[in-house]
Amino acid sequence: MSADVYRGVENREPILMTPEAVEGLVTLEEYRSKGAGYTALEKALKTMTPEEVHEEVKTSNLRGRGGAGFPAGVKWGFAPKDTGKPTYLVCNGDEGEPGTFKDRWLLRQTPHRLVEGVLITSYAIGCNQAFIYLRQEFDREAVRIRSAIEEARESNLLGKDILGSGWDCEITVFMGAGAYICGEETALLNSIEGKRGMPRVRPPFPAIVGLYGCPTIINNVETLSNIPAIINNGGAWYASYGTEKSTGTRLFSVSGRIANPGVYEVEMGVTWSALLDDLCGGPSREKPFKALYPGGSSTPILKASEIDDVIMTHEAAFELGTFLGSGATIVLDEDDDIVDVVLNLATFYKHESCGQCTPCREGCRWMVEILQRIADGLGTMDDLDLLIDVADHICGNTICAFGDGAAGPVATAVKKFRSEFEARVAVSTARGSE
Amino acid sequence: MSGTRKTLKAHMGEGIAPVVRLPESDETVTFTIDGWEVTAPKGSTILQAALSEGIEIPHFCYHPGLSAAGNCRMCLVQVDGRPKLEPSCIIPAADGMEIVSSAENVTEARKAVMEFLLLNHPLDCPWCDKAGECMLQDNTFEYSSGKTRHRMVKRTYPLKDFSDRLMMFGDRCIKCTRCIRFLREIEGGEEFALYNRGADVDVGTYLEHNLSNNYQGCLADVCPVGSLISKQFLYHSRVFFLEASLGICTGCSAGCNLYVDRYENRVARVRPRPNLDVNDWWMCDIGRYEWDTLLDNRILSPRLKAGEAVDGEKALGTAVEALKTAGDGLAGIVSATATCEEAFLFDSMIRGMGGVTAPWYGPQGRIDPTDKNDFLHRKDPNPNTLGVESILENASTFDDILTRIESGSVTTLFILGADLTDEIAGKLGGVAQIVTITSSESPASVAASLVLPGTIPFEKSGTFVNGDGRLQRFDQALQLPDDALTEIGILSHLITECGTGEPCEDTAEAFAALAGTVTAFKGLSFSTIPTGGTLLQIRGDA
Ligand SMILES: Cc1cc2nc3c(=O)[nH]c(=O)nc-3n(C[C@H](O)[C@H](O)[C@H](O)COP(=O)(O)O)c2cc1C
Ligand code: SF4
Ligand code: FES
Repeated sequence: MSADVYRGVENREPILMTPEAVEGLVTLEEYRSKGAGYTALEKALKTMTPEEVHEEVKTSNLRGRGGAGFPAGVKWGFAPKDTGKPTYLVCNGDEGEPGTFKDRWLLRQTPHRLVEGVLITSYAIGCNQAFIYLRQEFDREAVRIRSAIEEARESNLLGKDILGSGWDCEITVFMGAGAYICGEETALLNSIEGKRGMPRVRPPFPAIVGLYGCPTIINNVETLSNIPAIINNGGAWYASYGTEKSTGTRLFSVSGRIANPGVYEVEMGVTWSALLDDLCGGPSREKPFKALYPGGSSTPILKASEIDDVIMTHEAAFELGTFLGSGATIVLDEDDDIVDVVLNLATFYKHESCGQCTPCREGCRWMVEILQRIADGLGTMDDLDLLIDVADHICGNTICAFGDGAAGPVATAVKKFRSEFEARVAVSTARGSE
Repeated sequence: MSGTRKTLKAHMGEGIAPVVRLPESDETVTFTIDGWEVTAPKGSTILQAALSEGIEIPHFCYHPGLSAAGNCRMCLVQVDGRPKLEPSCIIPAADGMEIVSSAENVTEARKAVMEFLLLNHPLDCPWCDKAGECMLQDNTFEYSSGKTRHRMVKRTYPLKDFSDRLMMFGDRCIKCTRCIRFLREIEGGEEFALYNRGADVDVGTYLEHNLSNNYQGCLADVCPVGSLISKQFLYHSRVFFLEASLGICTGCSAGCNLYVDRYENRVARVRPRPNLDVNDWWMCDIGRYEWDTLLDNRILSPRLKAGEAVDGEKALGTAVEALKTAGDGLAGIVSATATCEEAFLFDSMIRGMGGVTAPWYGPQGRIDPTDKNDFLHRKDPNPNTLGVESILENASTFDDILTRIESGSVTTLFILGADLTDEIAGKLGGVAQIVTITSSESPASVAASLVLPGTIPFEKSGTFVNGDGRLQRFDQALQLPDDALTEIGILSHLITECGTGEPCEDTAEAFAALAGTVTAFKGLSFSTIPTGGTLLQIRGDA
């Protein structure tokens, strides 16, 4: 059974997964009566300047929830004003990172909140046309978002002269065509433009030259879903959640060998154990945890022993050589074979690489070849170092972060679970000497 | 200053070492590469600035005529000590930047890129046409570890046949997307794209056999490896046996700059020579593939009417006789394909003997030499319309001369290079003497009473003035037989014999005579015309 639960620390209310949201704030009526619907938009339009809205978000220190954890307020500041070109906001709802399913929850349960967040953000950055990009498989979520947009339009919350403010804003829903790489923000822009979904080289950065060559801000669904609460309660209130550098709460999609997989909201700074043991009920097969991908398949693997007493913040993860990524925690137990897991994920990345840049295109295929022969009992001890070497040569040398996401976890896994890899190689060595 | 300065190597060869177009800006930036100071216009990328200073940063996907794609990752350098290496083809150079291109982390990243690129490469250099001018080969020698650690089956692609001009050995492709960018950004047809993803990525057209644009040869040029191959050159010769000379395309009035690559005394191929004022890095397929029509129906020895052979000395004597006896019945026609020096000597000869000269533009008549068919190719098929016209200033017109012919007042007609049409040739019956100097058979040679063999452009040097009024020089690529004369040799002989001028030993002397007479050419000398040409003060059509 999936459990969509908030884990607060003492006396704190959830921000996103309120009981009402868990029940569903799907219609405008529900969102207005039970979720303070559109009060933040009204507050922003009637009592705040765009700069003031921006300032609140900076104060909140809300960091991006799509993967990189970049502070949203800082990013918004990168979009140049008065270029004579429109500024666009693109909401990234591609949710492609293996293990991630929290944006889906938000799109289904609180579509209006996302629409409100998109509108407030548009107001702050001077955008009159926003896009919500959804992965192809999100057809049910698209229905909810589209009907939220229509309901909002009927109530003058979207379109022309919103709430009599004289400010116009449109939101267009754009469906992807099923490629993981289109979650990468510049590949996503190409996808909207009808081009092949390939990341763009930076500079120029999309905040300056983005969609159709215009300044563009890209934020994740969860990032933008937090905006209404920040405007209603203030940036300082939001920053009072979590730690100094990792503020607020985060949604975690927990899956794998876990008793109660599901989407959980936790305040930043709680321990991993609070999430995995207390909330998720510990291992599912009565075997101890062996390892976990903390923030999605692109984040380097951690041994279970590494997270004892460790808190969940961007900084703590970084110290362990990994990331909170998109908050997709994939848990493995003693019976899971790391070689098989790594091969499985490497195969995914090989298939999803856009093929544009040399290290990723060639390296992802090579890593799979090496892993496959190790898994098949045809590997050598040299292959283990070769694997790390290939991964290291991909990392940091590619156009986009896909390469790091594909290769970093492989190198880490071989280093941390070398004995398991060696055991597979030993099989082949033994066979070879028969 | 530390380290040795890595300069562009001679092995890259003229024409492969990139000619870079730097951004236009009054401001400059100054920065260092491995301690060497480099100054470039603001807006230049690190790589552009480096290459324009002759400093080598290895690269594949960057081509100076195309947008930067940043995909090969060969050009990575360290910028200001940042931990992550950055693509020098993308990062704009800034004042005070410190670029490191020779440190170990940089060379290791390069080795890694080379290893990745060579993983699936067939290493079939022994029968690859690109060997010798292949960036992959060059960079492998210079920057790879020389070993492979790959021990699986290599990825292969079927051969692709795009047209009768271009084919693809996909196994060799490094997915730099230069070809795709060329078609998108320069030619405009967008026929090529990337297909599939990841390691299965493939380049080409959606359907085979359907490439029909006029710039397919450029696709083979921009391909840094031997993937896109020009069929005309397939297995023709090893490029390292070729010798290049500077040429000008005679296909139209654009005057694209060429390298004429010869093997022994034959032309093996022509390819564009970058000239940022004329053709950038490109040339069209008409120029590239149809030059061999110059070799059709060659006239190699002098003859009298109806094929009656005559030895050279006698033939020249006959021509001198014709000139001397013509009186006021003398007229001359010079083709707009003639070089400036030929047109000048021809015109001096005719006028010196009291005759009139007119230009011939071909059966289609005169076409504005600035009119374009596409981004390069021009409608005027003559390489030297403006040159011939500026030399023949105040001369007669072809129609004028034709009227005089029809009224019977022309008794002796000299024709240089012009082909004429059957219809016009049919009107020449009343002209007693027709002397044609030409390289190939045409209505004009058939109608002639004396034919003197001329040369094709590869067999001589000279100058043309292109449709923009740019005077451009070209060198002789092929050797003539010892006893053969170029047009200049013939005309110089005739002029001297008739006593109307000084003999000219070679093109340079003919050009000097021209520069001493024709205003537009004043002050110029053949040997000092820049390889990129020079704009003349002449009245074009614009
Ligand atoms: C390969 C790759 C896939 C990505 N997929 C997603 C995705 O599915 N959803 C998402 O929000 N961000 C994704 N990102 C991150 C985006 O590029 C971008 O950083 C993010 O959308 C910015 O929003 P944020 O600042 O609100 O997190 C991906 C990045 C990479 C490199
Ligand atoms: S890292 Fe991979 S996915 Fe990203 S641009 Fe390069 S080939 Fe494409
Ligand atoms: S030349 Fe810079 S990445 Fe290819």
